[in-house]
Formats: sequence, C-alpha cells, structure tokens
Amino acid sequence: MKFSLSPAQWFRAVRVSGPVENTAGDLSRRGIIKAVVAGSLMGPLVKLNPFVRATENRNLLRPPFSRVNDNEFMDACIRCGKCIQVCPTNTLQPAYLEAGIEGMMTPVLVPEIAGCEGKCNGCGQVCPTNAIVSFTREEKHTMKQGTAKLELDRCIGYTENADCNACAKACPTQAIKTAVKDGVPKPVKIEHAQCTGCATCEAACNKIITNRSACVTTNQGRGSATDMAAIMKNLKEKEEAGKDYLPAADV
Amino acid sequence: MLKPVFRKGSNLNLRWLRQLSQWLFFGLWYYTFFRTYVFIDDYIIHGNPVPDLFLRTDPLSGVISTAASRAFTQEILWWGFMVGFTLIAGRAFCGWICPLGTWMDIYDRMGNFWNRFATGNHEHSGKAKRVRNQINTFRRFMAWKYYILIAMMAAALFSVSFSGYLDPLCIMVRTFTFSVKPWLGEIEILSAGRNYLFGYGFTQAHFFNYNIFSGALFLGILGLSRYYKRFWCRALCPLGALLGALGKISLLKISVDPDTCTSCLKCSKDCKMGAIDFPDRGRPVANYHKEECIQCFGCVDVCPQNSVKIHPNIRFWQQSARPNGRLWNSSSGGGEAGL
Repeated sequence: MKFSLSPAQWFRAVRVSGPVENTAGDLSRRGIIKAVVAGSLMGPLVKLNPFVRATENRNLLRPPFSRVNDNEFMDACIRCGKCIQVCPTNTLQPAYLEAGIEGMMTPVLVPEIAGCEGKCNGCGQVCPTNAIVSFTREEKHTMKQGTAKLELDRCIGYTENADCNACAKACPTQAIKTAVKDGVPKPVKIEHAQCTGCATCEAACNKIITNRSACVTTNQGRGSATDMAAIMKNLKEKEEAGKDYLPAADV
Repeated sequence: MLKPVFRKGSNLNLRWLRQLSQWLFFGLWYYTFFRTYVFIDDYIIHGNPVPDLFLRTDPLSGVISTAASRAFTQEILWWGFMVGFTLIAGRAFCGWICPLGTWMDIYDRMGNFWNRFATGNHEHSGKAKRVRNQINTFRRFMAWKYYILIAMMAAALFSVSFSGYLDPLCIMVRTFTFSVKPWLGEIEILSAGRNYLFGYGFTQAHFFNYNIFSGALFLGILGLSRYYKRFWCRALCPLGALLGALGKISLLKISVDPDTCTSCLKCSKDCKMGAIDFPDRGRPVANYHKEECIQCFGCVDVCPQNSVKIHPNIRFWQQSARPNGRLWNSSSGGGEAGL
C-alpha cells in the first residue's frame, strides 16, 4: 500500500473538483491587513537583528562612492548584483550577514579576494538606483571609503627584516610611507588623508605571519575627502622615479 | 479589431508576433548582460548612459527604492515609461518582454517536447499538460503576489527595501552572474576588455556568494511552472502584481463575440495565467481577470470560432459589445482596492 504521494499526485489530489467561486483570487481585507502588519513588523525586526549592524560594523567595506550613510545605501540598493557583475577584480561580493539581515545581498568589498582597482569606475556606472553614485575615473581618489591600518607585528619587514614592501608598491595613491630601518626599507605609516580605503594593500600583503594581512582596512573616515594635491604629487613622483619607487616618510 | 489583420493560420498572427518580441527582448537582455563583460570600456571610460534598460525601467525597484529612501534614486523617467506602457497595454511586459517569463515559456515548450517524446502522443503535449489543463482555473493562491507586494510596500515605508530579492529582473542578473557565468570559465572575449583597460590579466575568482542559492531559486521558479504554467507569474512575482494592479485600468481589453462563441473552453485551457475562469462549466459565461492577463493573445489564436476580440477599453465599445450574459465579465470585486 502506498502512503506517500509524488508531487504530481499531490497536485492532482488537492485540485478542486468543483468550480471555484468568482472572488477566489480577490484580496480579502484580512489578508491585506496581515500583509501590512507583516511588512511593518519586518522593518523593526530586521533592524533589531542579533547580528552586527551595518552602521556599527567597522570592517564593512562598501564600493567606492556608495552612499555614505549605510542605511541610505541599503534602502536605495535593489540587490540586482549588477555592480558585482561588472567588478573586474571580483572583490565585490553579495553580503551574507556582514551588514545584518537588512543588508543581505548588498555589495561588500572583500579584501581577501582582491582590492578595488584604482582605475575602474564600473560599479558607479551600472548602478540603476544610484545607491553607488556615478563617478568618473578622474575623481575616483577624491573620496575615502575607509582607511587602512598597519599592524606591524604581522609585517615580515619587521619580524624577518625582509625587503617586502608589497603594500607600499601596490598602493595606488602611494599613501603607505616607508623608511629605512636596520638597512632595509620598511612600511612605517599610512597617511590617512591620502588613503582611499581601497584595500589593495590588504590584498597585496604576503600574509605570511598567521595567514593574515598586516594591513587591515576599516571603513573609518568613509565619505570624507582626500588630500588630492598630495596624491597627485605622489603619482607624479612615482611616474618620474619608475616602478620600484617607494614613498619615503618625511621624518 | 486586430483579428482580421492577424488571421488564424497566417504566418503573421499575434502568437508569432509575441514570440518574436519575446525572442528579441531575450536577445537584448543577453546582449546587455554579456556587453557588461565584453565592452567594459564603454562603461568605465565613456560612461555609457544606458547600461541596463531592463533594470532602469523596472517600476517595482523604482517604487520600492523611492519609498524606502524617500528620494527618487532611480530616474523616474525610466520607470515611469514602463508605468505608462502598462497603463496602455496592461501586463504586456510579462508576456512580451520579461526574460524570466521567456525562460518559463521555453521550459514549458521543452517539457512539451519531452512529453511528446516520452509518451509518443503527437496530438497533445502529453499527460502533464492535460493535468495542468484540468486545474487551470483562477485559484486563491494568485492573490499571494499582491500580499507580497503590499508587505514590501509597508516595509518600504519603514525604510526596508525587500524588492530585490523577488524582483524577476534582479533574479535574472543574480542568477546568471553568480551561478552561470563562473561555469563559463575565463573566455577570452569576456576578459579581453578588462585586460586591455587595466593593463594586466586578472585571474578572476570564479566564485560568488549565493551561487548555489541563486541557481536553485532560478531552477525552482522554472520547476514550479511544470505544475502550473508560469506559476511564478501567477502566484509570487511582485513586479507582476504591480503591473497587474496598473493594468487593471489599462486600455486594451479582450472580449468574446457572443453570437459565435460555442463555449468550448479552449481559451481557458490554453491560458498561461489562468486568467479566464469558467465558474459554471456548462455555461459559456467566463470571468476574465484582467489583472492576470499578460496579453499573450493565446486565446485569440486558439479560438476555433475567431470570436475572441481585442478592443480598446472604452465605455461605448463595452456597452455595444455587451448585449447579454454570454460575454466574459471582467472580474469585479475589491481586487486592487488596497493598492
């Protein structure tokens, strides 16, 4: 004897034998009230989620020129994934719960994969709702999305006295300053006004010590302007000096 | 009105026209999708003003993100165009344009081929379709999408935008970005523009969060249409609910010439959306649920008597075409009163 039904049998079994009345699909008042109440409760519930909130998560990196207020950003974002599609380095990923329940599938920048390419403005161009404001390549470095921080106890320049400087070479704005110590140039500090928070240094780090990057990017200072004159000066200096240029700290 | 032009049996019928439109917009969608990879310099250097027509003209995301952020984030000219189009032509977007709807039609057609192959029945399309036909009436679950839309709008007033999770256009982009594109691998033409622009070859990570989820959602949407044609459009799609609520007052209308209708119910069985409902199967009185109709005009083509007519939804026209009870009645009741 068969006790279980296949899906087709189930659908056959539950089909109505007789005619349905005319108002079958019309909305009932009770249903509308339920939907309104459910939708209204959804707002407070997702904002009171047990996970870390987007506005409080210091490690949450957003695409460049996204709305500075994260609540505004998540309201305007429709989770279409277009920015994630266009991103040439694939550093943009849909968020799981880094931004709370409300921020699921919103784009976040994942430094473990790559940094934000300095010459690219694709995400701003494709965003259909201006959650990421459209910007040109020239003004890419004018706004900060965060700030990198050196955690030198994990830097092999200090622990192994190695001539690495991968972060300083990778930085698109030359914000990581180096100085010669023990005969070897080492990264010593990051100019906050020149760092755009693109997480390229975090991705470029060798990650030898404890498999973690010695540059950690946070969204501190997101939305503030950078020192564009200094950045232009850095870029000009690098252009003159060539590929192996290391910006020196003015000490 | 259009019936004499697009006659049954001629190549230029409305079904053919609709399928042509579906394939054109299907191609346009994939052109737009792969263009993002191939002509990436168009976006990044030239700042192309029309990157994705489908997403920009999406009224659901326009309404929800506008309400949630209390600002016109999406340009209202774009999605207002689609609202105006819906006010004229009804829910024609779902039947003629929507790429996810085209996928469901393709799946349905493939299932028919499979059933023919498996059952050897060439006259009909197999058993599954007959089962579907028997239950192709207007059902209570078709109201779910309106409740989903209402819940989304209520949440948007509390600054939470949930539209993207169930928006079919967003689902299309997410599915083919997260789940399908990584399987295509590093194709040269897709990465050439990227390498040209940035000077060196990225090894693009072929992994995205939600890759399994997005693919499963897409396949589930297709699979549901095995039991009801376009189950997603009937029951769940919030964009369809919004367009249906707008299309309720649209200009196009379908009705039956009462003198020639023989109440064979072929239109009801052929309908993709279950929009034509015969409450009493013995009598030719049908309820035409206009908010569900996606203007595919399958009923116009399938009618053996050529008695289904398309005409503008104008008062004198309706009165002249309504002499007795054998007409399709547009469904009355407070369907969209809440909207």
